[in-house]
Amino acid sequence: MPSATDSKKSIIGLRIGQSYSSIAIINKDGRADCIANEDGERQIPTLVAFAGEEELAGTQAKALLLSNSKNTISQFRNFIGKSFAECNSSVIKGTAQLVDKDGIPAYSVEFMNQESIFTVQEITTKYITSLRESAENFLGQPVTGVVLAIPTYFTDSQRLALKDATEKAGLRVLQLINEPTAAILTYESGIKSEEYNNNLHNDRTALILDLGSDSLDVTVMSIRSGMFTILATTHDPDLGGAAFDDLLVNHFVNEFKRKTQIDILQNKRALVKLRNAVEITKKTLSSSSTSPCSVESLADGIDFHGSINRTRFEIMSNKLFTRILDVISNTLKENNLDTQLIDEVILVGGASRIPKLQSKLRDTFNNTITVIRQDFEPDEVVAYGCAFQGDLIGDLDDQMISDSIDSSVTLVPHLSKPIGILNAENNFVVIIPGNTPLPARRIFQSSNMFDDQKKFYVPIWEGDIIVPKPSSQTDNNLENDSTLQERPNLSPVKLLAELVLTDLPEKKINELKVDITIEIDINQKCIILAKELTSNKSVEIEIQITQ
Amino acid sequence: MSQSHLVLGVPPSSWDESLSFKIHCGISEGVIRNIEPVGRYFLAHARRKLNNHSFSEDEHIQAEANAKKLEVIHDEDSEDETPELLSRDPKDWKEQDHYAILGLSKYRWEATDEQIKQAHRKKVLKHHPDKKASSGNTNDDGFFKCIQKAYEILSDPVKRRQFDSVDEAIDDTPPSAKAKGDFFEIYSPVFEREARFSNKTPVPMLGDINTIKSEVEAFYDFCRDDKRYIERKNKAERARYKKEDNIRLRKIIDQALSLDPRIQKFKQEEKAAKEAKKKEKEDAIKNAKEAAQRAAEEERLKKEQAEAEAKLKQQEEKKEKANKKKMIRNERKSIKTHLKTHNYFYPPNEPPPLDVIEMQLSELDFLFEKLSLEDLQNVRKQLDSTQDRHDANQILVKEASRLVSSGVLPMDSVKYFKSDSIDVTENREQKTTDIEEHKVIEETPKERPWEVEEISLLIKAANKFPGGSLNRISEYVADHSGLPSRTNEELIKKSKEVQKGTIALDENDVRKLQHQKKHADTRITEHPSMREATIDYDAIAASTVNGSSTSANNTNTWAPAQQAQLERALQAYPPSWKGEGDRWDKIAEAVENKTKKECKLRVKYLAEQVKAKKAAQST
Ligand SMILES: Nc1ncnc2c1ncn2[C@@H]1O[C@H](COP(=O)(O)OP(=O)(O)OP(=O)(O)O)[C@@H](O)[C@H]1O
Ligand SMILES: [Mg+2]
Repeated sequence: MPSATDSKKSIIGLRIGQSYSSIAIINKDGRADCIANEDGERQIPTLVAFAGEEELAGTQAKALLLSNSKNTISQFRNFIGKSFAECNSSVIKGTAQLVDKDGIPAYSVEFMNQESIFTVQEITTKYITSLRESAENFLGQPVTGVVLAIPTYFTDSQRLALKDATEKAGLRVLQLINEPTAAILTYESGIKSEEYNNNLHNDRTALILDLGSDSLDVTVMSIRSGMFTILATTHDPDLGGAAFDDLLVNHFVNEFKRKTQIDILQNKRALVKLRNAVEITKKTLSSSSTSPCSVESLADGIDFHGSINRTRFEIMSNKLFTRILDVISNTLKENNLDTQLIDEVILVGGASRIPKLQSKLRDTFNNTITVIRQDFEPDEVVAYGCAFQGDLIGDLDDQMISDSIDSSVTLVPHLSKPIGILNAENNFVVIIPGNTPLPARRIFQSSNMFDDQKKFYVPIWEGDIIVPKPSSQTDNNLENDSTLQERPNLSPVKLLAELVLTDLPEKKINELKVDITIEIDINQKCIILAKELTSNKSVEIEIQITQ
Repeated sequence: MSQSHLVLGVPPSSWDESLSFKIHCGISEGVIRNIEPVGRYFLAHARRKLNNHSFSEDEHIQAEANAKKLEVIHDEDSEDETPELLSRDPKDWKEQDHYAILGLSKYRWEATDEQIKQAHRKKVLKHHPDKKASSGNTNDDGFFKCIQKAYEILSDPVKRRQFDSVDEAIDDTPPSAKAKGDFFEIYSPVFEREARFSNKTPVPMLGDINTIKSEVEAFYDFCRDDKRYIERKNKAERARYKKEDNIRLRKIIDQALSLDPRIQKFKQEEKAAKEAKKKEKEDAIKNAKEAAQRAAEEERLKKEQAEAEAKLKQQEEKKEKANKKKMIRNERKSIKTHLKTHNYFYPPNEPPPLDVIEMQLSELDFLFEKLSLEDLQNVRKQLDSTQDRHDANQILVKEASRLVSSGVLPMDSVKYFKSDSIDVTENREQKTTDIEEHKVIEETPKERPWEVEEISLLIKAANKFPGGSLNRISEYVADHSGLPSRTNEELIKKSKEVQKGTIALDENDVRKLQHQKKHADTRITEHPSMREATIDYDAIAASTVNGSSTSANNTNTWAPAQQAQLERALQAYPPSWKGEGDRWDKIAEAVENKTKKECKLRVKYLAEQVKAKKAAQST
């Protein structure tokens, strides 16, 4: 909770997307919120443009996409920190020329009446400067620090380059964090610390599906007592909102041709116009069942007015949905994961708002366990997470931050199998789930089975996941899915140790309180303590990994 | 979660009583992975890791550090913490007096946010479990939890209002109706106290004796339909409470209303004002009605009179017009009869060709258009007075040339009357098209009639190139009109006419020109092809020679160059041509990219256009 002394501190969370970026802050009430730029937009187009003597960025630069496209730079984010040879310039759509400047990708534009070359790095700095200014206009004070989100697939040199560009834009970079991690942090920040203290560790496995403008990122993340570990991540570089735009562009190109006999497929300018228009059409289709598409003077001075309904759009998008689902199932398969092991699917990225995607996901995660969530605006949730992290570490000094995020701290063994206790009814109760980072310590309270129970038996087991095989016709049988599929079972597989307490005070059923503490250190040495709270009677053992 | 409750039994019967534990094997080897370095739980992990502390060591250090901070602060002026208060069970938070827990009993709903914050801080520091933990006293954080709950409720504006709305520690019984004393002194605090329930803020105040009526009314209105927070454990109880509360509040309002001295005053004022207004309104309505009736009557009379006059005048005019029309018709008929009598100027025993008759009659109609009744009478009288077909012919030709020379008629509009044209009879057996075609050939080398557009272009060019060479002007006109270029003589002549202002364009032409100019000014650049696309005002001009904006192999399209070639070819191979082979083959040869058939069609088309143009002008 921010205290009164925090007023001097103003830290922002920043997400730079390939097409849109967002700036988030933490409000007085402790909630994250995005701030709008001077043009009132919370999703700020990732564009820079040069017009005469002026440099423009964001919404204003996007406005020039049509009239001054050769001096407008878009889709540059993914080139940062790459060499020219590594840049796939076919990605660029009719904007400023990407050129090779001593092996570094750069753009050639006309600025101040002469040809100028700006490296991707410089462009990024210009863009981030404009974001900083927007934030400062809003806050009425300088930004004191920023936490930046980066795609998981960014290489180290890309991370460094983005950090460098941000610092050149006049911002103190507190930390870079992975986009899906930022998203999860947002979902997690609603959880109060007492809940962890009360043993509600909220352990779960989430699949974060980020469908952005140009890419699809699938990340499987385990969440253990508020700590996050990425188990798997896949990146598909050309499956995003733009792919849906392509379908719509195609559709309307054909419609226009049918109506007017004019083919605009080779007409770059007309295509840019249409592409701008269909993005709006597509967004509208996420909330209405039909959506118009109008372009004034599309070609030869002829206006275009078309419309499309959602069903039609869904039918033509079917291939894309299938591709998205394939990426998900491959990611799971390659990592020996099953859909039933995913507790939550978290939707991130603007294009994840497409309603059909959610119903398709529901069909894929055809079980009673997985919850599909979009509690936060999918294109803001990443920036929120950055802002939360900024709020948390804003007071720490740089040394402390860099020590903390050093790999010697972050790179640790994780428990490979769950550890738990077989209770009086022979059920395996997990105390520490698999994938928990070490060291770990958890305390569990247990009680007696009957009145005046003088002895207490604590068998410690290591378990494993047994996924129930779905019965043969499950796939098409939607009505009965809840009865056909069950929660995956965790079964005790290996007995690690047994502990026994004797001569306990006489208590009524359920009134004896025995705390069981399991602590596993970094060397995977396991200490188990069982202690009765009124008599302080206890047993403690130590298990070495080699045993 | 299901696993939060763990029930354990006794060891199996095979268990060796002497043992308190048995170790079987170690845990499976872990997998090295990267923790995402975010969130406070990661920070705690990093702190332990960097300091090389175990969980319990770290906890101990943290607790000590917190306890030290806590000791610095002690509180004065605080409410007593009774043992009863300190032993409250946090589970019963719904019954808890949050203000008492934070030591704010005497402020209650009046406590400011800042007071609540401060009070919470103090209590936290005093009762923090870490402080107790460091002194070895564990598991006693009940009161601390009470504090957290109290703060959670009171720091949240919504929850706080819910709590305030049912705060039983407040005396909310209405004052006695018979209470003596100043109305405002008694009721102001009552309403202020009620305001804390209000969902809407700011809440209006009761005011004093001088408060204006609208504000007093607004105040009572607000109290009446104020939506208020009511928070009770269950729905039934909430409903019951709400009902009770409504009754109580209504009682307060009713009582206040009946006692409020301002209300009495307002009622009397209102009554008097109403009466006065009513009378005023009635009078106004009556007056307005009468005035409206009067005005309507006057209006009606005026209109009737005007209508009658207009009708009369119209009838007269109509009659006169009809008369004149009739006379004109008669005169025209007589002239035509004369023409017939004179065998269309052909020798008496030679029947004139049908197309000549037709052309003469259409030219005559054309001429008629320009002649007034007097002119017609004049011509008819002259014709009446002669028997000779040549004289008759002269009369008409003279009349026509009079019109031509005064600029009313184009130069060549009446050549069929000319007797010399009648004498051309050598190709009498030729088809009609040939005669017309012949006409086209004949007029081209003389002077093609000036199109309206050309004249306007000429004016423009003259302005554009003052003193410029004729060639330049000619080129400009040709380029922009898409028509064949003019000879220098033609240009000079026309320019002079233009300068002298003797070019008289008829009304239609002027309109066309204006229209064309408007379009040209707003949309058209100096681009001939674009002009083509936009000017469709004059079918004749455009079709005489078509520009080349559309593709060249379109048979309907004749480029100016092609047109010129055609014209030259027609001259070179007139119908009278006696050379070898078909004359149309020769003509087609001379025109680029055009077949014989296309050339024929073109000539036919042009002839039709000339005819159509005349017809159009004469209607
Ligand atoms: N309501 C909506 N319905 C459908 N698509 C939407 C909606 N809102 C935004 N989008 C699409 O989401 C995409 C932008 O999402 P986002 O901002 O997450 O992408 P990005 O981060 O810029 O791209 P990337 O993740 O590829 O770098 C665009 O393609 C946009 O059209
Ligand atoms: Mg993105």
